[in-house]
Amino acid sequence: MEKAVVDRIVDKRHAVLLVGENEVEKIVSIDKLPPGAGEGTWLKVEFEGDELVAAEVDAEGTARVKARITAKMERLRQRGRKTSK
Amino acid sequence: MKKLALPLLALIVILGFAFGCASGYTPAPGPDTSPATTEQPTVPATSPAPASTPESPSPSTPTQGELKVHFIDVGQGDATLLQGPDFTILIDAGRHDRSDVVPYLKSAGVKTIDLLIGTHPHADHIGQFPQVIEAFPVGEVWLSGDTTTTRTFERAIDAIEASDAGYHEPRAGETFSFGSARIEVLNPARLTGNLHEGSISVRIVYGSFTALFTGDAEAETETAILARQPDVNALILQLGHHGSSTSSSAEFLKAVNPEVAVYSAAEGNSYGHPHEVVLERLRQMGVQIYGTDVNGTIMVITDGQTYEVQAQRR
Repeated sequence: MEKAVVDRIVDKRHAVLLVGENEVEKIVSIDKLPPGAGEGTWLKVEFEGDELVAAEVDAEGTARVKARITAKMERLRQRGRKTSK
Repeated sequence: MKKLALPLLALIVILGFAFGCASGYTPAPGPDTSPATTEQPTVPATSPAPASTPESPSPSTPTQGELKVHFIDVGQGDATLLQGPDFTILIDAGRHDRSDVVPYLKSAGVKTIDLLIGTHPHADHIGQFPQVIEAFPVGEVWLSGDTTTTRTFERAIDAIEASDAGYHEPRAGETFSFGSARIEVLNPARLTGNLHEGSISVRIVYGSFTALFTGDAEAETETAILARQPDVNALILQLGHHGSSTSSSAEFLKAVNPEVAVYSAAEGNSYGHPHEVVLERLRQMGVQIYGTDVNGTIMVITDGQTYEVQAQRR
């Protein structure tokens, strides 16, 4: 199985997955998402062509990335604006 | 479009024919019937604000020179360049799986970017943040503060961190000046965790010219914006969420009361954007509609008093 992340849900119907290292976009029906999956959830997926045939939530992977990104955002917020209002 | 003196109108019509484009005078909205190139309405620079404007219409800014607003054709994504005489602002930076933004900016003569806004963290809006930040000195970056877990988002924040750019998460009610442009922040008031609800929405004032950008804000967020009672009136509206029916509620469109609406979407996209119900709503209002799927890159050029719309194709 391959790694993928749910980038966005469009119009409450389509889930846009970014699949693999290169984040190849695949659009699937939200019905195909495993329970508990939403925007920002990492999955392990199997595609046959454009069809999602298997998907499970990678809760551990999701939490790990979320923690890393939260830390980076905290650092960004430290820097503040530089130009004057 | 409004208050055009007859001789001027005649001249425009003649010029329109001379250059082989539609006259652009009769409001005949819809991507299929939009005038291909130019239209020159007169902005009511000194007249009272339209009736739909709230009690305290925001004042115009002093201007000197031209502002070009480029709705760049980046497929099913967003990237809008505001190129003024003393400011350069980029609102969103295209899709993560294309690399069309930097070449466009270079061809438009961009040397530095004063403000780079990522309206929200989806990959069709912040996709080419790293390339843009590497290619140009960027003064300041705004993000909503919402986060996601994609590599695309992580690369974007890595690129900001590696740059010298300032960083800010704007909130509704804040107002900023970038050169002769004023930016009024309309959204978010606070983050809810829903990325679309957190979309940075801004009203740009240049002279008496106004343009409104709401990212992927949807109808619930439009309602929330109106509830805060800012001045949302704008000549140019970028339709929220690529012209999806999730956005552009009748109530919101009425409050904005635009003369021109522009959406960014790819031809034949998977979502059917723009949705017909939104286009019909705009046609009923007599609003001119342009879309990157139909018209390619769309440019609105203004001196702060009048404006014209130029489209890459009709």
